[in-house]
Amino acid sequence: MALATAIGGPVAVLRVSGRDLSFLVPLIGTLPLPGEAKFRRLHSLDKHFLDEAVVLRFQAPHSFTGEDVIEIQGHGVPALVEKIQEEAIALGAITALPGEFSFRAVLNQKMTLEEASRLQTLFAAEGLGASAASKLLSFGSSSDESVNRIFQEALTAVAAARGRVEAAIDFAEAEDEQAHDIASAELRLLEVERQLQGLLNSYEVFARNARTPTVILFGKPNAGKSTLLNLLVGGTRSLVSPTAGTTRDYVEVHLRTPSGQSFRLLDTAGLRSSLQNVDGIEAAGMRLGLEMMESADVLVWVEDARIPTKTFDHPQVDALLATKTHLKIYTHADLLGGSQDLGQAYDLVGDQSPNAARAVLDFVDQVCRTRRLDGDAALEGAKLISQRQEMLVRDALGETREALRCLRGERSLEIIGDLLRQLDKHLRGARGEALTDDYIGQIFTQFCLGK
Amino acid sequence: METRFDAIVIGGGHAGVEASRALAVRGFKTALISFDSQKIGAMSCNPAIGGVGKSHLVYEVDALGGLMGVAADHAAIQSRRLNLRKGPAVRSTRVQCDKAHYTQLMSKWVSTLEHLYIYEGEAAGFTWDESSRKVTGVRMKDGALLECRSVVITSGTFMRGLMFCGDERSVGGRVGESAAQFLSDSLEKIGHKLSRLKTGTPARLRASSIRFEGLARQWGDPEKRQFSWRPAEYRLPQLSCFITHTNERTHDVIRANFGSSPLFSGDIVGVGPRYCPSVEDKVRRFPDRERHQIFLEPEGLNTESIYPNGMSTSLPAEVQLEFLRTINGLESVELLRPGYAVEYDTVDPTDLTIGFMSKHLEGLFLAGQVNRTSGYEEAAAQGLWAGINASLWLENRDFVVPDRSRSYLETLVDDLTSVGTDEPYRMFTSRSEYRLMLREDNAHERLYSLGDSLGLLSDEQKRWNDSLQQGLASAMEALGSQRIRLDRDRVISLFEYLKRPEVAWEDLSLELDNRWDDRVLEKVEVKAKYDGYLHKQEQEIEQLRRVRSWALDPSVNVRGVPGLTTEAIEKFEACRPKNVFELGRISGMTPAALLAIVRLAGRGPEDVSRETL
Repeated sequence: MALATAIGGPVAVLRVSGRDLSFLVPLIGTLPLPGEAKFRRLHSLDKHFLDEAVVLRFQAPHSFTGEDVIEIQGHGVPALVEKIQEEAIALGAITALPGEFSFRAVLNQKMTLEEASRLQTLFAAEGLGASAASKLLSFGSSSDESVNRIFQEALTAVAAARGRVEAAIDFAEAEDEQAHDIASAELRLLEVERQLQGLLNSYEVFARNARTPTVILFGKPNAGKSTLLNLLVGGTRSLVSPTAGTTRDYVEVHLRTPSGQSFRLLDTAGLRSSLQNVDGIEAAGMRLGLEMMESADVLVWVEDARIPTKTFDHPQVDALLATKTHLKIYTHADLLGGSQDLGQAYDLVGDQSPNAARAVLDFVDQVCRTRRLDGDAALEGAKLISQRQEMLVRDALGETREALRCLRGERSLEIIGDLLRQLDKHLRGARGEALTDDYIGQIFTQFCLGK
Repeated sequence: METRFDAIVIGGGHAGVEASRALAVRGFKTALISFDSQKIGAMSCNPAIGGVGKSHLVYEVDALGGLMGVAADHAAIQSRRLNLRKGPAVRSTRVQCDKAHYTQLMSKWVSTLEHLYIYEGEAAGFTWDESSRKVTGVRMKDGALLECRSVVITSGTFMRGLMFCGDERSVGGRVGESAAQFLSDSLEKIGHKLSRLKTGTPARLRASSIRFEGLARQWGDPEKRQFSWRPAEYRLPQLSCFITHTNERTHDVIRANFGSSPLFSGDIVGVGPRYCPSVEDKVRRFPDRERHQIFLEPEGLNTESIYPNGMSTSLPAEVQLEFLRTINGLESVELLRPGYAVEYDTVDPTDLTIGFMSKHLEGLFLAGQVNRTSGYEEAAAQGLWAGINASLWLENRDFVVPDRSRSYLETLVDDLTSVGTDEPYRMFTSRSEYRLMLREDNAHERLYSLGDSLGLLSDEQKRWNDSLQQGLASAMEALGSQRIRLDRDRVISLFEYLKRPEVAWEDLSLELDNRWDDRVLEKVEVKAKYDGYLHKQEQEIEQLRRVRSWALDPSVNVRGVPGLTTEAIEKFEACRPKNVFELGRISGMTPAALLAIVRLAGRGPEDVSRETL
């Protein structure tokens, strides 16, 4: 059982999937016929009226999971939704693990691991544009086919290279000297390397477009970061939800610019210059902040206008500023007296304060626009679009390179044979073939099974 | 004459020898039935034991106390190491044997084994109890009835064996010997579907009629390498082989006689081994090739017989003589006997359990060429496996579960029983996904605990193993603790130093007094040079083992599991798998169904020891 809609909307959709759902009868009354939507009054076990709902029934295998599915569409009142879930659990339903509906769909051969993996990507990337989302969902499209063709060519090339290497080992006495021609294996592998690198490049294009951009506020302690954050949160109506960070050292919110670009905004712990003494906990917070800054898309440097500096006086931060897109916001301009020209200097209280927030939002918009270059066109060129494939291709590329190094160097043939075997396995996996052992590995790593 | 036994082994070839030995050593009263007690362990075809991949099997058989390795060591008249530069895991030993000496030794050793009885004659079938579906004995052609609880069939090429030489047909499994005509009937009656396979052997040449001068000579290695752990106190004189080639004239003669080849006429229906084609096959399949290589291999010290390796054929005898005489060195060659092809009955090995017991009759085991393999070494390995498992079955114990990461022997068992084969199966190193781990040098270590736990090893072998392990430990200790200065700042252990590709063991002789024997040094060097790769493979194996060891609730009801075919449900209910490994072996089990069952019946990982998994 899983709730399909976010809490807080007008309608709540609860889905239950399983082999025999008749246990739900006390809650929803008789089961609707397959494919039928029925208006039902929901009751608790002790016969108290709970809610009015539309109940739909999908019969196996014609459902998302491939099992029987009951969908209950009730009113989106959080307390009521919770109560209905409790009743269903009392009747025997269990709460689904994250991704379990997809997992069951894979089990029941309603979708492949690759498709499930793309759905995960889809749900994880809130900033996904419509075009990227559609691309993720267009299984079996022409771009899928062209990727599969590349995998097929690579597999053929690897098979030929393996044939050469294995023949040289297993037919050590054989007369067929062609079979011992290892040089042609190298040519084959160079081509594989080129193809796989191309796929990875195309994934980067896709990932850049599909990911929600991250904007980080950083600066010295008490520079005004938190005030600016509050201004940004208050100044936009499309606040998703303020989430506390995984550590107490940063705060994360999801926001949208006026033009609709969504982004993650992170407020880091204050960074001191490296010369100052910091205690252990604070140092850890700073390290975390630095790591996040490394992977951020936009940096916003918040500085007290009364003590302006050219550099941050922290080697890592200065190195980041030299390469990363950033915006500098001077705060406390109101306390300065207006005599100095500091460019983007704002006071964060009073009438002028919304300007600081707007400056940040405009900058985010501008950066996102330029980063996308020609937008959807870049996406069109993306061949590899799932993280699962990307990981397998990355492994395969690593093995190709090492095999090439071994072929040129002194490493023995058996090591090359071993690398090519792994390479073959990873390419097959990327193409969508899953060996039983790999499947088993998947369930044990991704889903918490075992009772 | 004894007529009641625990086990009866039908066939005294390489498989039969190892099966009988394993049963007898484990204390079971065993009969070995053979047409001729003087031909126990005969080398019917080429005079060599070992070769790439195959030598690994010989080491493994030896590690489990088997006889093939020690017999080859004794009978060796040329020893060579192959693939020396291609890496330690694929280095392989190939030994040419004095065939007569090999067979004499095997006959002698087998006849002196305690609990083993040799019974000359032809087995005409086996008997069984219809209600319990268990084997009860063996019926001899002369009418005698031998009782037993377990039968191991190692009939090689003898079941309905039919020999072809041109348009001549003769019944038999080997030249000059008869065939087992009736055994096939018993197998068919209990439900085995038999199919025909084919193999061939070349003519044997008279040494004195060959002009060896001017032919390339192939020497053996000066250092004679041993298969067996048993100390070598013997050494037969060493001989060379010679190399010559076919030419266009040879091919012309062969081409002109394609019409009289039973292989091309359709008379031979059995599938032959692709990697060991007859010469007429080579000429037909590679018409552009100007020549093919021939090794002239002596078959012994006291025989004139020369084996022309690469020239197996079933063309008529006079054609064989004609094309052989076109070959450099063979201009006036005389045949001791012509080459021929033999076609024989085989069972589908997927009809066997992992212990090589028939799925149609309890107590009946099959091993060797009858299971669709080719080669002496493959046969010996299977005979040993069948013997071990037949003895476990007699004790009411579970079969040994084949572990692909432990040996080529078990890789072969797993391949045959899970996937099967359409052509005669031969071992290659590429069949193993754990090739780096499965080496000649560590065969005895890999299989020691299995052999020991089954009581297959003599005290002498155990002592040898202990001293080898001690040697290894002390060498590793010395390498780890002693340091070497590379330059002003860097000091590393000798073990780290040895990891460098350019450093060989000999380079350390200044640092270490050389008190270890060659077997230890080889292991140490492999450990150092392959440390990273081996570590990676070990992790892979460990992960797989953990996943496979997940226990299942055997009482679970799998009817209604989505994606499970009726066949898979029936198989599940018939074998009630205890863990994920066994579950995965059920044929028709899709990954999806497998996951669904694990979901339903999984009990979580259990600490299963290496021996049972």
